[in-house]
Amino acid sequence: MNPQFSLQRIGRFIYRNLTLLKGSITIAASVIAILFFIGSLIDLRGDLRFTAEEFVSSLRPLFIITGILFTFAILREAHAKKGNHFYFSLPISPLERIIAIWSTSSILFTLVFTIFGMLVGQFAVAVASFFSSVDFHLVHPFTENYWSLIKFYTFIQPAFLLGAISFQKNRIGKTLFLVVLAMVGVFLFNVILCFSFTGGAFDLFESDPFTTEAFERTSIEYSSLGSFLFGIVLGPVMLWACYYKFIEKEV
Amino acid sequence: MIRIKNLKFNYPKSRTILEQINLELVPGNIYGLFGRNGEGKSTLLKLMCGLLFPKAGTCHIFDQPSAARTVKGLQDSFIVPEDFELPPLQIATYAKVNGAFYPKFSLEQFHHLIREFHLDTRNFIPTLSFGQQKKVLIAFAIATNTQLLLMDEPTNGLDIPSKSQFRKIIAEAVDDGKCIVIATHQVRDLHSLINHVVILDHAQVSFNVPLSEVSNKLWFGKPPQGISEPTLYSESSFGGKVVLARREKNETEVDLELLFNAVLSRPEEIIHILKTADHEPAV
Repeated sequence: MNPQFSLQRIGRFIYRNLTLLKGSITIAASVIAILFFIGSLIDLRGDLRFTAEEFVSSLRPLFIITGILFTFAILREAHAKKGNHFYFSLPISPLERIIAIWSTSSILFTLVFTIFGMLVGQFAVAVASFFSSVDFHLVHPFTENYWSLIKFYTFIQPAFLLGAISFQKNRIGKTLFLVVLAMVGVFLFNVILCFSFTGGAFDLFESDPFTTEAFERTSIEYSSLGSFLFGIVLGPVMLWACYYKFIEKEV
Repeated sequence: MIRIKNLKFNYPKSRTILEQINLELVPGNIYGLFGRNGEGKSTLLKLMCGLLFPKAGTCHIFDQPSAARTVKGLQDSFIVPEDFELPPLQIATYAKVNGAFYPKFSLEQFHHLIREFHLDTRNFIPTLSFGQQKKVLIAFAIATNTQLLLMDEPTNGLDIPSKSQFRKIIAEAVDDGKCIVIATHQVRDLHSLINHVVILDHAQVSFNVPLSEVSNKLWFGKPPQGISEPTLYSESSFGGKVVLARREKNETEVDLELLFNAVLSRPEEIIHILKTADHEPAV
């Protein structure tokens, strides 16, 4: 067995992180349950059904916000002045650390959040069917929009993970600021490209030239190679950077 | 176990804290690491366990650079920092989730030590005082059974009975395979425990001598009547203790506080005496 890599240690580290965050997870789950329950009841008005599309649109903001907050929470100990001695002297390699953190805040989080959302949504339908003319029906989120949401979260989450390990203070604010800066950078790059190719004809798209339509077209017309490279930059490269951050981190 | 060669360290935008540190720590010893405030004792401990990285020179632990923080190295070393914060868990849960990472961790030993410190494993950590939390961390550190145990001011925050309990527990824990390094200002708390003294002064190791050698070459106590030989160091107060070259005098218990002050005030003379063979006349 490679002493620097052990699945058992990864499992132990996931268990440790979840145990330490038990209180925060309980509070967050309660708040999300209430919000999602209310959202589900609102969605049941009109057609008296909680469709998969409605489920995903209610789930989306809670899922993204909670996922990002969870990513920052899981790395809180690494920046605690009085607690990070223990955190960094714990016998676990940087690779095991990053795998454990990523799989908790990405895979496990997605899985648990989806099941939790389904249970709350189902409970809302059950309650509504008991007190109103809503017919009891099963809820599920598995639509194309759901898989797009998962894909989006999977690719942006490592960027927040990198922010969570890199910044000592105001970690969320600084990471969001950098994300906005990156978006502005992409926007300016688009402007320059558009200007170079069209000679200043900014009305290339009929409406909203540089944002909505452009992004929509990009998602449709992006080449496979482009998608692959974009995915690489947002996903594995960010995780790779996190790995080196862990190696270089001092207390 | 630990080999430090020409180590240099400074924090960003700060003066050099450690300069040309050369040190070799071997198993079977309890090292007392002493020095004035800000001399870099805590920093040196952090460098030893890889929590900080040397700016120059090397620091090897179990023949691996400490900065590599290898799993094997971390499984066999533990640091008890001076200032720490334990997570909001029950003591038993704390031991369960963290002890699993140390192959030689003994839950039975941990429970025994917790009882020795008059605590209960069902106690919720945030409800404990700082001193009690320190006892939890010390109990955990000993129960990990790591070969290397680094402790920074371990008796700070402990009440008087707990200090003697601490000495007893450490004395029981040490064996030929273990190396314990204790950085402290509380020399009186540990005088019966340590067997090797390391003193940091002016960012360097100014003294690194086994206690047996110190008691063999130096004499500590109230000056005998009609003393004619020069004193190496004397306390300023009237009738205070002195440090003398031992020569033919009876062996005395090493007064660590006196030794520390003597080394800081006259390091060359003290080192010279210690290097002088028994039969040679001391300066």
